[in-house]
Amino acid sequence: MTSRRTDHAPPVGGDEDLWDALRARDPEALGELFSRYAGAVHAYAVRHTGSYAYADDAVQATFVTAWRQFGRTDPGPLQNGSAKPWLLAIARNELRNSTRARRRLTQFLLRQPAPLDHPDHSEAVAARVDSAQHIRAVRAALAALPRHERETIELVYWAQLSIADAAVVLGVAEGTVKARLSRARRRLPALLEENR
Amino acid sequence: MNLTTPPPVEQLDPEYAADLKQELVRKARRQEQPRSHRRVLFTWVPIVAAVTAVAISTASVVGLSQSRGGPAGPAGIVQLPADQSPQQTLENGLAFPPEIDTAARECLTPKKNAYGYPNHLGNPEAAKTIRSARWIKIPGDLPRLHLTLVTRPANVWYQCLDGEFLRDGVVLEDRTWYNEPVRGTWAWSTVDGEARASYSFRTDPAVTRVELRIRGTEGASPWFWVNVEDSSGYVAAALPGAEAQHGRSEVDVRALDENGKQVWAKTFG
Repeated sequence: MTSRRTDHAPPVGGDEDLWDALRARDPEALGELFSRYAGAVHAYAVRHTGSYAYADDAVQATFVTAWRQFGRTDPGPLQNGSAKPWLLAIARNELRNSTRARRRLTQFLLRQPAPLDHPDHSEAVAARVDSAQHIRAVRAALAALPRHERETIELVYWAQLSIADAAVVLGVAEGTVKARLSRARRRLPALLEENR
Repeated sequence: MNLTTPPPVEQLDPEYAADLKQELVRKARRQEQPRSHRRVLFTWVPIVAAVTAVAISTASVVGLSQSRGGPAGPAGIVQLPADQSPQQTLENGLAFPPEIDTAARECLTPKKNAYGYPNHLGNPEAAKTIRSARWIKIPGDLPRLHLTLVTRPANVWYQCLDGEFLRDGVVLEDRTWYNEPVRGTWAWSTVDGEARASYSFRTDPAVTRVELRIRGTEGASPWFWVNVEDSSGYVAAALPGAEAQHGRSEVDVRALDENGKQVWAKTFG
């Protein structure tokens, strides 16, 4: 049975202790980081790609990269008490890299003969396909927005980051995030009509 | 359809999540294990090296005292007691607002590291409090502006040199979590025929002064020193005719308290 739920909010309380343990290269801390934020990274990746399969890969890549980051350079102290913006910044980079690779794969597959169709009618798969289709429809509505405005909506409304945290992920000033949201909101009513 | 509402997403499959978590932790542990072995090895290397050094040093001293009558290090590096080197300050006065503002903004602007990620999460627009700003003389080079500041409201402490980010951390008040009274980063290079070394650091509140000298095969530099301000600082030295290379030079760093008593010392190189 598959239940459809939105991702849970991160646990109450800061991540400072966890962050310090990661800086000390404690593998168990990586497990704890995963427990706290795998759901948020997964939801962000699904909404960003419209694909559960790609999102699963992105979750794995994000946490592997996060661990490597602590091994390469000390990322310094935790900002704003939460590791979520830092992880979403890594996820965003991973998704960008995988998007390029996927584009190349899609072009390759389009050149191949059509495969035989073997649909799976199980309830779980059907629900997942339904969800993915819904997300793709929403993304199609968003597609008319410039990429930077789309990303801002994904982070602030969908990943529920604060303006300050979204600014950290996007590498821009908080004012810029607010301006992008404001511009996107002005355009959204028209976009919704067009995609109904 | 409301685009400001997150589209519902199926939760990450619990079984897949549990497997993935286990796999991540297992791989992370495996990566750390050889490191731990290396740590054990590295724990022994200095001990073995020290014992060997003492043995060689003793033999050299005996040998040299019979021939030339002067002490020398195991690899020909001059061994000089700390109190026999003269002292020279690097303090070069306070810095003032226009220079401070420019350096602070530059330092708080993240730069991309070799992997394309920002080297810190600072923001040049952030409100900040300057904790210390002074000019440090650099032997063999131009003076540099050493700056410490705290951003608000995140309360992150930054150390910068000429607008370059050195390190950040939490604000330390009267306590420290360090195991040692001084913690920092050293660097050296050979420039224009002279060895140059530097050390940027944070200290325990008890430390008031940090000194650095270079010892080469032909001689040693004075102790170049700076006062500790905001529990931090940057100290540098140069030794003409020396090479910044393992076995050719060594860098001594030491910390003194307000009574001039040495509370910490380390040798690099």
